[in-house]
Amino acid sequence: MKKFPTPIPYKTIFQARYKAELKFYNLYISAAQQFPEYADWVTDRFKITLKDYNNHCSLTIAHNSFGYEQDSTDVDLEIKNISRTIERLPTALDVGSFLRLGYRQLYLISVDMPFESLVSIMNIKFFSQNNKLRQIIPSTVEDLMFRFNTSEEQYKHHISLGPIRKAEIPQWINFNADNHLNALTAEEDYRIIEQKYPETAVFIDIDFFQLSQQIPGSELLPFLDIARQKVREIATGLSEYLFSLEVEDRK
Amino acid sequence: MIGSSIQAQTYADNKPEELFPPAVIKKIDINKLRQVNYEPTGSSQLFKADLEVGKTSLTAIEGDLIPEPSMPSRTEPLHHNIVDTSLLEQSHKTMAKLTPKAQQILRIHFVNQILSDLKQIQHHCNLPMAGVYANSLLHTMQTMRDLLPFDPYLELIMALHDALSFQNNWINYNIDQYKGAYEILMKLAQMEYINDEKVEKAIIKLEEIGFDTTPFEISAEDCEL
Repeated sequence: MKKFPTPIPYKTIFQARYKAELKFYNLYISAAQQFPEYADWVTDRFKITLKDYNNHCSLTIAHNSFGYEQDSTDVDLEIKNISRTIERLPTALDVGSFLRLGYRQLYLISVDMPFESLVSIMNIKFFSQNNKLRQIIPSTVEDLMFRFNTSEEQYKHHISLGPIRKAEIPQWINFNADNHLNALTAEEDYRIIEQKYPETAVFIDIDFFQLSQQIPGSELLPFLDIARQKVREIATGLSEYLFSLEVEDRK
Repeated sequence: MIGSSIQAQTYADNKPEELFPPAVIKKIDINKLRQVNYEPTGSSQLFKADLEVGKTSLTAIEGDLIPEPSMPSRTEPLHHNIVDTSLLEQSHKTMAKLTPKAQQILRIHFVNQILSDLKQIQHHCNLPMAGVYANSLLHTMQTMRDLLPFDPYLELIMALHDALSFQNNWINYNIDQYKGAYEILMKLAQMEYINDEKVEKAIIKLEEIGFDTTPFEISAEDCEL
């Protein structure tokens, strides 16, 4: 039986970077036309951004990268839209290889306890409880944050996490109101979104990426599969580590 | 056997004038007796309570007036000579902010580490490797004592700690005893609500399988009443 809260992805970003080439300017408008599901768009000649206000997501095609950004918890929508992006754009932009592939998700784990209790749990579980260290650090830990830069095989990860209050969430989950909300109703729409944030939560930001001088286009799909699985594993694992109520019967 | 109240002269601190007002005959529960017994091996303050029914090896003299003890409960633990005062204050501040659920989460965090080491000691019983796990086990128990001083489960942990740490007795217990301790600790940890009665029963079970949970000795001279 699962005895820990589920992390919810509030924001997802996928980005593929490639070497800038002049041919981009002949291709990017026709490439953008292959995504009619985005009803609105804006361009500044260096990039075009396709917007879907209803689903709070956007696709940006630039001279040196394309990226998908979503400010919603709809995982199926994210999978569908990113799959379409990597199926169509490399061909449409005539991009055969990449310099960086990145998949980033920002999670909240809602908890039913006061902020101070959450800080205590994270302090005890993540910080060394060495007596000497505890004598050095001033006694009352009021807030904290953890940052890990890690790697595994060819993949790298930037992982940040910490306890968060409702009022702090907008600073850490930067809702892209320009691209994901209709300007006419943005203020009211965002107010409703903010209200739905949990009172107290754990914030987890996981950036999973691969850097290389030449990542073949054929690596896009495998990268995404691995990235999604790994990011979800890390988020779920952290939640389990922090909040598990299961007494482990070891064999 | 264990758990029955015994009449015993009790620990008192160095301010007898504050202790004496209404002198009463007090029956001291053995678990309360253990509460003053937080010292790891090597402590200068050693207690010995012979727990046989009807026998009191402490210095109680029949008919003596025994002062109302200023006995702290395990929820207000004595940390004299054990923990730096600032660390104790830090623990108290931390614990004061914990909700019951947060306390349960942290309890299980430590219990899982303790159970893991108990299981490893079973696997390596009577082998040199067991010492590594015994050291880890005692260290985790002491950290739990420092960080969760108000958790009722701590009483069971410290009972086992005392049994194992006194004169390195961890080396003398056998696989079946470690297995029994594992089961007792796990069963209690799996309970969502833990009270003193459940803890006391668990400690009695530890005693029944041979763990001497009150091994520390105290002489009459040490009791400055």
